[in-house]
Amino acid sequence: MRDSVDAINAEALRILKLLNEMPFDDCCPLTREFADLPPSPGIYAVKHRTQGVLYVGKSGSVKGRFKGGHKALGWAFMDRLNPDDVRIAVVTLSLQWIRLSLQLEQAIIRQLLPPYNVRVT
Amino acid sequence: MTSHSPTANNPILQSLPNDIHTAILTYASESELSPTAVIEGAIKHFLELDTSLSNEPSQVAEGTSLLAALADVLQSKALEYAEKLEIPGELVIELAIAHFLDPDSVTFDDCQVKVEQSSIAWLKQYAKNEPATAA
Repeated sequence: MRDSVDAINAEALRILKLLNEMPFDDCCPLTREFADLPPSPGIYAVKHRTQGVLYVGKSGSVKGRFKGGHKALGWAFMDRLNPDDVRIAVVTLSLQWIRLSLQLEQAIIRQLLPPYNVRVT
Repeated sequence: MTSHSPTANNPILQSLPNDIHTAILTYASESELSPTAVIEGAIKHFLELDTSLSNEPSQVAEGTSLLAALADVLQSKALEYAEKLEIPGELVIELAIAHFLDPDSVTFDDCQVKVEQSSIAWLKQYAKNEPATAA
């Protein structure tokens, strides 16, 4: 049991590092279709050019999640953030981690405490 | 209205956890589609397929995989997706249904089932575009 918790925490830290360290210019810009986002399971971060990670989430299709509209982008709009300063970083999940996405997401949120996450556990 | 496999004969529907099963039936009732059509719509939505893609019943209906319950063209697209992601074909069905019911979920394990008016509206639109299925 301890081993599996440790493995989840280690993977969460690896994903968090990738999301945090992904250069802003390499992240996916905001568009209507989000064509650059993967239509696959993943953990994503809505990032601001200077403020860093605003929101962390998971979805079975990251592209589908944003195409349907996303509350984090609504909050960014209301905070008067320039859409050119907001992008999305994604780490896709391999089969081994697909069923553990909730635990990974929660561990990342606990660590980062992104301002737009209201589901902090 | 197009015809679909009877609910009782749909192994995908039968395999669903209770809450997911109930949500599919609710969507079917609200959109006046069959549960099978709702599942097919969810898969097309997830795989970003043309909603008017054929729903011709599979020629491999006796197959043991749940994928065999899908129309041939959906099976093929689901397998293509599964191969690309290196995941089992049947998991694509779960990902698609979970995503339709809760876009913040990945699988049934973390799916917080919601019946959304926007999804009902999408299904009603889908019903209009849906191809006729051979009897």
